[in-house]
Amino acid sequence: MDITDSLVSRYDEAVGLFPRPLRDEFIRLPVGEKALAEEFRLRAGKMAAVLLPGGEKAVRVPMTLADLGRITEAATEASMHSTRESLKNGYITAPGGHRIGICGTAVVKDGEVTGFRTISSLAVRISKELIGIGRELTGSLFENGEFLSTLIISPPGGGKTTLLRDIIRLVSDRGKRVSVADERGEIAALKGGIPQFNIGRHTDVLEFCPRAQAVIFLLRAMNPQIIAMDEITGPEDFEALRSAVGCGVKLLATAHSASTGEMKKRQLYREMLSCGIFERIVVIDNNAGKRSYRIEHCQ
Amino acid sequence: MLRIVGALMVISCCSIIGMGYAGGLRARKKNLAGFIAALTVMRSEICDLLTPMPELLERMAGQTEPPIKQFFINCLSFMKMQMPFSKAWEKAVRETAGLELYTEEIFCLCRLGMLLGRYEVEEQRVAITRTIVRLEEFHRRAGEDMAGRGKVCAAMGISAGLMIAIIMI
Repeated sequence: MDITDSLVSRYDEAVGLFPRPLRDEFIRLPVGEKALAEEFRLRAGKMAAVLLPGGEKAVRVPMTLADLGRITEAATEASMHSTRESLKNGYITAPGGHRIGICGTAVVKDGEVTGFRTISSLAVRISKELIGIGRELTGSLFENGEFLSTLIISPPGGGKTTLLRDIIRLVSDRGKRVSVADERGEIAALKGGIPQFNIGRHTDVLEFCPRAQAVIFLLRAMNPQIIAMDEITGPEDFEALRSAVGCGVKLLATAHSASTGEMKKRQLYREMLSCGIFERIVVIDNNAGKRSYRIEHCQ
Repeated sequence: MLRIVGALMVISCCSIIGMGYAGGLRARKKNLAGFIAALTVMRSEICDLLTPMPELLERMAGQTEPPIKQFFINCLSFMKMQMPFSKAWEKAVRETAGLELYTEEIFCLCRLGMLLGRYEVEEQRVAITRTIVRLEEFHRRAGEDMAGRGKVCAAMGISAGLMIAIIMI
């Protein structure tokens, strides 16, 4: 399966969540656009749209509240109780690892979002598997046969998770034991305990567990050589990673940022860079949908 | 000779009808008990393990006996046809062969289907518990029905067969 086929099959899988007229309309798009599609933007009372590198392209299907409800039910597999933790953060992960951002009227109980009374918008991000995109890069992330702790950075939607997944696969297939703290279930997309993505032969996955807690669990239980996680966001993630490094474990993680210069503007990231837990930074540059990777040494 | 054969056939048919009806009452009681047991497991799976519906239905199909097993298989297959869960559940309740449930019991199970998977864990726990309590009541009544009407039906079937046979001869 070449890259275009793989992208189109992921696109078709995401479209499979939609009810009939909408699904048919999106299926009809040309293969080139399907391969470039990043998200579906669905807003009640507006035409459904697909997000391409050049912007949103609408199709002639107006979205209703009922449609959005049906898509949410399909994405949660009619199991709101299974997704309540992620729902509190405004997203759900559909089968296949597609992340769906939700907007609407939130229900708040005891100061905590417990669900949505009305769903007015959905942003369905198509999860992608691009086998081999990290191949050239991975060699530079080893020194004397040892993996160097690496942080992947890009702005949101820059392809961090896709690259992270491929590096996990490559490093794991080199014989390293990789444990993945997959809080959103997007990296491996376990189904019945089996990863839906190729994440390598020596990879263990802990899904839907808060990242910081997952790192501690993995350290205790799985004897990892490398711990991988997506999107370091809070100080608790940072503390957990620091304790992992203190135990001799290498890290592979991602963070939202366009450059190392921009990272230093956030206190958490500044501390993270200065304390030396990462040895390499991979910066993803995006030029009109064409991505390139740059490695920087962490001082 | 032909008359005797005919009479025997009539007696057999009437007995089968009578015993079939008694068997239906027995099956209804057994299936209600099956649903109570299944819902008790489902309550733990949903409320304690947060098991997603497709996985739960598959697990339940593996743990139950026919026709409850078939009910879960049907519900899962309707769900896979992209039917909303409440519709899939209702269709499975109404269309699974051999459940032998009364209208009130069907209605009670369908109402549960409208709540499962849609709300918070605690609301689902309450709904399942309420349904179990109702089904226990139906189960008790089914037991009384079976004890009272089951034997009568079987006996009436045989007696009716005998009577028709005697009139024929």
